[in-house]
Amino acid sequence: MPPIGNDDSLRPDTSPCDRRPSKDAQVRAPSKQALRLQLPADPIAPSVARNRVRHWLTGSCWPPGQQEDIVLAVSEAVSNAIEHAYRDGQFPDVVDISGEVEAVPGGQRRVTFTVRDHGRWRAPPIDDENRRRGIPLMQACMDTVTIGQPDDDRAGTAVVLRSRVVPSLRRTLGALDNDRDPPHVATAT
Amino acid sequence: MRIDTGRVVHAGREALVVTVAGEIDVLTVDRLRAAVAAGFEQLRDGATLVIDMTDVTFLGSPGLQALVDATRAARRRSEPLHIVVDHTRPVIRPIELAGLDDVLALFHTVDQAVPSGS
Repeated sequence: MPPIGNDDSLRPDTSPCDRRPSKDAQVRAPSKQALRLQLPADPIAPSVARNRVRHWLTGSCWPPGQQEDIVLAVSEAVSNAIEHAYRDGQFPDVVDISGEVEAVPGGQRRVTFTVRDHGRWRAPPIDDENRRRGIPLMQACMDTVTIGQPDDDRAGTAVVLRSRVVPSLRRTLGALDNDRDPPHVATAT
Repeated sequence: MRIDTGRVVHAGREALVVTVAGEIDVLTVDRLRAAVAAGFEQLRDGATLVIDMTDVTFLGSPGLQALVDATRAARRRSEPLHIVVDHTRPVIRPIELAGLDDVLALFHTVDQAVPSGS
């Protein structure tokens, strides 16, 4: 969190989501780029994915409470993907993660993440309590969770995580539209 | 993830406190399991084992499962296992989402987690 105060020197790089950026600050534009990430199917992958997804959602001005749920769901999906790779002995293997924001009518938006591995999907073994716990956790964090084969011929499993809706970026940034001091977000160059 | 284990005496009662900080996931969960197992081994008669999760910044299903397993192990040994979570931090959310807030013995502070004497 940037320090809150009147001393602009403390905040040279104002968050693009800051509703009251200082006039002199370098304001980054909110990210509208999709996230594309490929990680080795290694136990470090969930941690790397969490950092990248958190950073990307922050750059997209996603509400913090929703962010944490999405980060948790993606982390669980990446953990599952690693387990597939381990079980099938397919090393070196990778996990592909993509995230995309879509507009939802009514001034809202949602983000959809796809976590794809290249191992073979199997239903969680009945005695694997840990894996049986992960899927309900993802479902509790997201609007919908779809687990299935990818839409092409490659072997692998795609987990599609669709978030709950949040206010659109315009509404998030424009919440002060009626104020005397609207935010001046620089356009990306 | 950082783990420290130390003895705490509160109101005449002793607890062995395993303090965990950082992220608990598939990469780090085995260290938590090892620390809890060592804690049970070091536990003196009448003392309480406490896992202080106040400074945990991420808790996923591997960590939730470790807490459930530790709670079951404690029941088998008839020794209390108390878990300290700050209700404003990112630990309580996954515990509640997984429906484990009724399964785990949760406390807000270490002092509350140590049973008061007599």
